Amino acid sequence: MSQADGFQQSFPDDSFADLNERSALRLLRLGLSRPSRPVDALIDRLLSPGGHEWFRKVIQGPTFKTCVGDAFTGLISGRVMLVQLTSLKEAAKSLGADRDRENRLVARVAYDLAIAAALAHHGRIITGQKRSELLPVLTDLADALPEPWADMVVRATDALDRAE
Amino acid sequence: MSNARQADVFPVTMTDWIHERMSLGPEGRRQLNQEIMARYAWPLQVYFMGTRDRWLGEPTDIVQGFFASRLAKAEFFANWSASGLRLRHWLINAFCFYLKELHRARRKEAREVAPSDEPATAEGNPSKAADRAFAVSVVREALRMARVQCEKEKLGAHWEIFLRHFYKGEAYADFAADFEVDPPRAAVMARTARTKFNAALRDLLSREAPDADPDAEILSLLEESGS
Repeated sequence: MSQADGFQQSFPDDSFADLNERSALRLLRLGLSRPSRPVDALIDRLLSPGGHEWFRKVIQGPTFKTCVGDAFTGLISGRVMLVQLTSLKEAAKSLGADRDRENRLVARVAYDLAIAAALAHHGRIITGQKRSELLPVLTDLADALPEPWADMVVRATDALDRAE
Repeated sequence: MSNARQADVFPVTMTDWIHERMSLGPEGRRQLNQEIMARYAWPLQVYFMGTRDRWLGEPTDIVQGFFASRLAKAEFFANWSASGLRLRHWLINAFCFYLKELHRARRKEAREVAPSDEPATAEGNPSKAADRAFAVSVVREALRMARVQCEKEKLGAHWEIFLRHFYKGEAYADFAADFEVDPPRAAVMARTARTKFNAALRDLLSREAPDADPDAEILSLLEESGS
């Protein structure tokens, strides 16, 4: 018996009776079609083979070191000032104009993580993007990131409702 | 997923859906009615519970009585199609008329026993509660359709991973090993099942009105739900 056949035996109750309103609305949002967004190139890279190893190298790179020092300590543990995150975001915007695709992907990592960390650790929105646009971007990005980065971005989405 | 691919899996429009069922004669009509009841019974019960008409009876009995009364009419779907309304709103309108009919019948009965004031038909805005219930109902049905599709295509593991992550809210890293894959691979597998779910959801929402745009339907439901 294949693995797929085996899992077919473990399907949950097909009435989905325990689906609550909040979960239903989250699932409903998945159905929205959308044009390709800048973050989708990053998500595709993260989900491609070796994507998480690539990510771990990126966050040790100069863009992060210059602005926030050790990325793990700053962005995950929250030992980082808001001004540092803003400078990381601005550095990312400059790098995002680079002709090299790899650099643009690195810029996207820095840009989104700076925004997420500002939300998760300071409860502040440091971008002009609308909340309604930011939420799906961060939600989809969290799905593609390795832990504990995914958890940090999820906390950022939780903070979005009450953020300034 | 392209429309062409989607069409292979699920019917695309409300018109296709109704015509397909109607062309099957009485059995097709029965299937159509069952699908309508499966999707809209709960939203209508929620609507009913939000009105002052609760005294009329048990929600399940009232809604079943409504369906029995209205879905038997041959012109029901043609009238809806001509109305241009979303199906759930058309049903709520029809349900309000049905409740008035019940009122009249009960009032007549009551006159024969004792005088009674006629209660108001509705209070507050039960339509919003019904819209929220519809959102849950339609997501449930999309999940059922996507599950069947994944079973057909031998994507059982993909479906299970989709449920663990998107339905139960578990992180890929917490359960990917159960499937003998790493978290990135789990995310890719979930995306495959998610595509099936999206197609099912959009198909169901495309049946809400003759020219329904699934994106507009989703945004409308999210807005009506205050999300």
